[in-house]
Amino acid sequence: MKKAAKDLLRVFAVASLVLSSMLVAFAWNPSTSNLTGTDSSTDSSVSGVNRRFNIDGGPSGTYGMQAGDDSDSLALLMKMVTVTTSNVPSSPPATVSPAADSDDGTATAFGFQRKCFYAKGRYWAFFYRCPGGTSWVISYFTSTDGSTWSEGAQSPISTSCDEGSRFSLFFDGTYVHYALRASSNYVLRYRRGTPRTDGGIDWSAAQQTAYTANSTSTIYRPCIAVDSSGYAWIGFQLNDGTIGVPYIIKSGNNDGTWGTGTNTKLLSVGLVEGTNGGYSVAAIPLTGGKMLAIYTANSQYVMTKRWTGSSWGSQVNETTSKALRGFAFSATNEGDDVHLVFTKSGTPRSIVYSKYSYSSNSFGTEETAAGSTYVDDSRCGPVLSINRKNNVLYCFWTTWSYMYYNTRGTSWGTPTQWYSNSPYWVESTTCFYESNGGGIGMIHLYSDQRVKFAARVNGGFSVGDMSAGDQYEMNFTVGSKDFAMLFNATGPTSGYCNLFYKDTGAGSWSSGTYFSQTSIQTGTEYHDTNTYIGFVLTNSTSSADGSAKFIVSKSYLGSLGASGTSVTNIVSVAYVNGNGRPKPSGTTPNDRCPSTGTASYTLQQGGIGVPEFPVGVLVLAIPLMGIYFYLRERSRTNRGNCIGEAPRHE
Amino acid sequence: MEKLPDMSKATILLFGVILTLAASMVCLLQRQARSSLEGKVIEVGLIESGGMPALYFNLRNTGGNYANYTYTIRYNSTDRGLVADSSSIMVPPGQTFYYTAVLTRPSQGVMVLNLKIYRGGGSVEESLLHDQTWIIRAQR
Repeated sequence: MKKAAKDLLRVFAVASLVLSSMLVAFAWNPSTSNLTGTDSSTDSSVSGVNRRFNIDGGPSGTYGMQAGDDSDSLALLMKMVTVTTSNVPSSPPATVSPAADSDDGTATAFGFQRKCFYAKGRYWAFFYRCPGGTSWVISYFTSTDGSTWSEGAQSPISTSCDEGSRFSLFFDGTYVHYALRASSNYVLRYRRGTPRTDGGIDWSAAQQTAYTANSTSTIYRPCIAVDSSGYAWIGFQLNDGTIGVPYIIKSGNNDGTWGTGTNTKLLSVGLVEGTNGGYSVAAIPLTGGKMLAIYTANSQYVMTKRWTGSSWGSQVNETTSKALRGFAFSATNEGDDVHLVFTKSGTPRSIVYSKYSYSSNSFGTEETAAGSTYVDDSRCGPVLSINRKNNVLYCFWTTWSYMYYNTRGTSWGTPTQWYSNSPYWVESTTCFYESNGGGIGMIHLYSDQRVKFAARVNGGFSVGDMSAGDQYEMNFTVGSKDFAMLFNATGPTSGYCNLFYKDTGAGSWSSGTYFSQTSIQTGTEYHDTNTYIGFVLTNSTSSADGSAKFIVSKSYLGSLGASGTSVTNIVSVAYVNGNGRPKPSGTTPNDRCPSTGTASYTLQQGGIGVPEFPVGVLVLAIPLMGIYFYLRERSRTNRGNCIGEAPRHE
Repeated sequence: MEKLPDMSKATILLFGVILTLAASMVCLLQRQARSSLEGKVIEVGLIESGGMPALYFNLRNTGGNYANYTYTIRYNSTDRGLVADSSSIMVPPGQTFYYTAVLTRPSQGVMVLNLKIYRGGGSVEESLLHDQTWIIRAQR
């Protein structure tokens, strides 16, 4: 009996080992080192379209895509180019406004108010202009390549705003919001819309009245921003005819209409609004519904007051240096911190940078972004933007005809003289608040009364820099089934992964699995609840390719009818303005890999289409085996014991 | 009553175990075979895990032909206000469409989440297959 028990224990031990190995054997997401074999060696850009994506180019020669597998899943990797920087257009600047225009000097004023952005595969530029020299309007133009511009279908957006500095714009990644003073000096208007791929705008609602002051008051220099919860804020100077105070208001609605929210006077004591004097207020969005109001005036310190998400902080903080002019500053956020540049008051002139920290509620040590060698008494002031791929700051400014920029990763470099348009001089300028997936662009008005555009575009991929409609897609065939896996971005850090399938050569795709994810982080693996499909998005760096990695369960592919060990017809494509379907009709890929033909891969860790054996059956069968051995052993023992035994008699 | 010898009791017990295991195996295999043909047409669930609740549904086409379905998901997002996501899908006969949406739990208040699934390419009430609403509270 003891021996039988030992046998039984032995069998169970072996069975447990087998089962354990089976459980450990479940694999998912083959490591990068397992992805080999199908690199494309050519840079296969699709000509004739804006080349924002570059999925197969790199500085080092290991371009293209890769495939790999483990025992349970297949992975396909689409490589993105490393971070590189180039000019758009290649010989900047491009002319935006038509030749018949006679635009005003405030066309693109002021820097902190913002009037341009990138969305839906287009650059967008809004400015004050006089088409044909007859009437003054706020118009907008768009361009897919930064070189050729055309007026948008909803342009002009206002015929009663009477100066460029009375218009402000903010793009929040989905909606464009604007604020302007129109018709009456004491009324602020607001509107929100969705930029379209064709350059049009779908307005969320009619133009709203955001604020109505006393009829004897005047509103100056509105600046709009939108917090992380979608609520619009507008900072401005409210002037009673003599004294101007900094003011900021918040909408109570986040649906495109303006609702009664909060109205806040930032300082109770104002200044006289002299020539180009008085306060200017910039609203800077932070995280979690927080907001920072930055305001200053001629020869004043730059001050801040923070909104915690539910109330205003009590104290206003100041920079060490004073600003030369109230409007000559610009700021952008990085999380809850805010980067600020302004032209320093006094001589010699310089452009000063300081970083506001929300946690300490104070400005840090001031740095010089550009010394007196590069700065004159230009009225434009510096404008600041941030590259969301790597959080590098771009500061643009002008001296006479020359356009300069400087960048800051951890410290400021040496200023670069970018271009000039002699004999004309720059009269006003502004730039993107952030990179928005299309690099960092700026618009400015030269004294020839023409608005110009130029951008510094950073290649490479970054999760936080995705634009809605960015689509990365991989097509492949297993056995008699075609598959398409794609990732379609819905925002800078959100999107969805789809798997479609069809019989090889069939026309229409069937839907297999849809999986959407928010708050995506670089290098993190995400998958659906069934672990059928998943993806990993990895940022490019200056020395390493970025990537989009698609993972799919082999057993799931088998359940859809795939079988075999050969993965063929592998092609990766990238689209701007993808619609979440394979090969969006009417859309030309931004890039394709390989440039012609397809790649293939042979599965290394087991084929697709082998029916799954239920583990439960194994769990039940192993005890049966144990019992069988036990009985067999006992039967032998019994037979042995019977030899030589005398028959029993009652 | 005469006591059964030890060996007989053990044998009966062993055969009992064998029968039970064998019956379980048959049931398991039968269940697996059935699951690919029958089961629910729609399975819907909300997995409330931390700050990232996940809505999922599995939609099986039990008919003999390709079928179109339309689903609409609406929720009030802290970040973006009201979000509506609608899409039409085609599912081959006997196949299942799997949907998963990982959401971000609101930082304050509640998120009202609604899922509607329609048969066909439209969203007319007559073809409504499923309509369910969840309320997701802010994380404490």
